[in-house]
Amino acid sequence: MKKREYSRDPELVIRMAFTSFLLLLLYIAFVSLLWWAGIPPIFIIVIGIAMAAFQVFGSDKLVLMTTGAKVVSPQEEPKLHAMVERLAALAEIPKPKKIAVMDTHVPNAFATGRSPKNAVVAVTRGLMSKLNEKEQEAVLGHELSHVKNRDVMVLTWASLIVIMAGYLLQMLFWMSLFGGFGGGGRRQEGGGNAFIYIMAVYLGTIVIYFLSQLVILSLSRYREYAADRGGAILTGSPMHLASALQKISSDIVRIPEKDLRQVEHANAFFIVNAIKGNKMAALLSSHPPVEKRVQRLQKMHREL
Amino acid sequence: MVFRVLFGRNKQKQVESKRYFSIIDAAGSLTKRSDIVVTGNAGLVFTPVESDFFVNLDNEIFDLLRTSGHRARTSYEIINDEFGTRWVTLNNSNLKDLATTIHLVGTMITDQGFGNQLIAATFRFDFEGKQSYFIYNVKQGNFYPLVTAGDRERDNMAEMQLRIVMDEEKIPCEQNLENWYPLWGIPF
Repeated sequence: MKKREYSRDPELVIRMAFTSFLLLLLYIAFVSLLWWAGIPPIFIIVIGIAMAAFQVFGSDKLVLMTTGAKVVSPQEEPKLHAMVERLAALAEIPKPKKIAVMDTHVPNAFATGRSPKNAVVAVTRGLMSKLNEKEQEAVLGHELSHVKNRDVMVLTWASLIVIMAGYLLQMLFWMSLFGGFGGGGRRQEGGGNAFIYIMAVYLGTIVIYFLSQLVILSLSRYREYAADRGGAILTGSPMHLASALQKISSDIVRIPEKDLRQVEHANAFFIVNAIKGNKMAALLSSHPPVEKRVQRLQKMHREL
Repeated sequence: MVFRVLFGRNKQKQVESKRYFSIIDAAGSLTKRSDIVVTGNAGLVFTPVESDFFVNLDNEIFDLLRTSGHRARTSYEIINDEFGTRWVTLNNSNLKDLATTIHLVGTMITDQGFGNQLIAATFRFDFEGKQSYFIYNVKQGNFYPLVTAGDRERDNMAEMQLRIVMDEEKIPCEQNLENWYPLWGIPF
């Protein structure tokens, strides 16, 4: 069997490198700001690292809980397990510890976990019923690429600055409620000067907070492209991932098959009017638009 | 009691009724369309509860039709389905009268205090030769299309086309596709 190699897309690598560089600048700016104001950064950094570590370690359990995904055994879903096993072997990572299924008819999938040795991969019932096998494989390939690239860990640690900035903002807010900063200021010339320092830190942190969010979202989008690429190389078929993405993002797959009478009896009927067509700026999306992802996959298909 | 009727329940009912009336308003235009053949069948599905009213439903509907003057041209049936719910099915070749009568039956059930038991009103027709329905979800106050194809299968593409038809006929369509729950085995 031909060994699959991960070839790098130079343009994507450059973009990710640049994004990481911006992030580094923001980290330096943040630490400098704290140092200038005489606030020992070590305290914030330690708390931030603790929170980020908590996130990385708890991600799988938390996501399983919030999505309602149920772990399934090889006996319960033999085909799914076989597919994941085969792809993991090709990707040269261990088979994910947990494979889970979400009970919704809308096709989707996710992967999480702190490392390839502690990975969780989940799919929805809709994915298994509405996509054909090749398309399902393509989606799983994408997810396993995330696992192999350690994206959960990378993105969580990248967002360390957001965690730290956010924590600092919270702290400043509570402290200002309870009568202001005691002796954190560099100059102890009475309330006035300390106030200016605090305000500067507050405003500076807010700016850094928002800029970091944007940079991290950008990084997240590039990681998605990379996972698309990795998955396509893994399965050898970028076009199946492209068609899977189009199916997943299409309107039609959202139409349910469950009888209205079953729904009515299962729970009080919610008046859900989802805010459809929410045109949020592309800046604020953690995933690139489907058209762009499909374009890149088509380009790959021509080159492979 | 008066205030609740004036400001609370009544207002909500009015809003929902207005949306329902769109099918009465569109009846003539729908009938004239070349891609739609009205079959004259419609039904109201609800979850019955223990009460004299539901035991006597047949008589109640008979009386309702008689007093409303629709008796002559409307035939009806009461059918239990496998979901534990019950249908009042009506047949009247005039879509406008049919839709109006469905509304009367629904209002009668609601006036008796059983409005919460109503699930949906459904209208059958052929769309480009395909077995199709407009489903009106009572609680949501919106219509959405259902085109069946074979056993428990939907023709989503045809439903997308029907959505356009509904737009043209000014029938309010449920925006969220995830709420387009089908009704399988509609008895008409």
